[in-house]
Amino acid sequence: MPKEKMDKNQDHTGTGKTPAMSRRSLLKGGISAMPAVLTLQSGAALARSSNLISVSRRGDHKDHWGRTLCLDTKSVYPVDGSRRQYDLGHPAYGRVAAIRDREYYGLTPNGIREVDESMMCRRGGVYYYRKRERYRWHDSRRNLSEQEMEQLTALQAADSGIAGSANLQYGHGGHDGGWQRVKVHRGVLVSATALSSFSGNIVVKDL
Amino acid sequence: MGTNVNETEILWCSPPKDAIRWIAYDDGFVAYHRPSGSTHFLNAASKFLIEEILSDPKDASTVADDFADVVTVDDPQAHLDEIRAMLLRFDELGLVRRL
Repeated sequence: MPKEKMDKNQDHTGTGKTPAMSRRSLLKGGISAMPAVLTLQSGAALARSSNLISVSRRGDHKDHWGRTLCLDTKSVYPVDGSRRQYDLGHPAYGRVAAIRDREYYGLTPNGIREVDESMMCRRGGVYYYRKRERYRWHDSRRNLSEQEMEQLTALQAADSGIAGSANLQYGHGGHDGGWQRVKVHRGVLVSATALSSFSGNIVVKDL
Repeated sequence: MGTNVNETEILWCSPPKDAIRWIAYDDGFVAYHRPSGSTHFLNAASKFLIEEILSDPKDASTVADDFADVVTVDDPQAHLDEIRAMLLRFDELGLVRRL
């Protein structure tokens, strides 16, 4: 295109305003092309890898050992701001907590209560369990004793860094009642099948 | 391009003035569509269509006739079909409006 014609199309006003395209200028330029448009992809769309994983919503978030699979959402990238799909990057990377099926207790809005693994994943935080069978035929859903509740309250307070809390040790048996502690990063439930489809570095931590 | 829309009933017009920010670039234009945040490369004919031809509401046939003033039309029906397809595409992108 001749220089002067190119100059005519450039913005010389410094105001960002482009010259109007009149019929005369089009005829003079001999433009015979029909309208054409090319849409630029957003940076996010271009940067997206093909390693996308969806949040499990069909109850298929347990592996064959019965562990609940919880993907740490701080280790991956949400797709388009959605909380239903995450990008594991390329090569695929993510941190997954495999939460064993146990009786867990934690602090809820209603105080210290038993929680399930799905809630632990959604909310994240510190939870407690004891090394005993999850279900016992004679008291599979008994309430905690007063002593047990006191122990848990003290443990929870200690983990929260509240001054003056009881000096309890974590471990097996003894005066702490044998409570064990697990920390779960807030995340989303994912299926074992979906995870197995990625080749990369998916870090699975057994809890 | 096939369509199940009665084209004679649709009037097309330019979007609001502040919807598109135009920037001249080489032989064409970069158009930033504010409502969607999308960016497009457009040729001069597109800008002419959006800003000049559609400054008044027109149906596809009238747009095609106006465009025939500046482009060579060998097949009027093919030309009209192409204009219709372009208007629908621009409508998807928010670069034109239908009334």
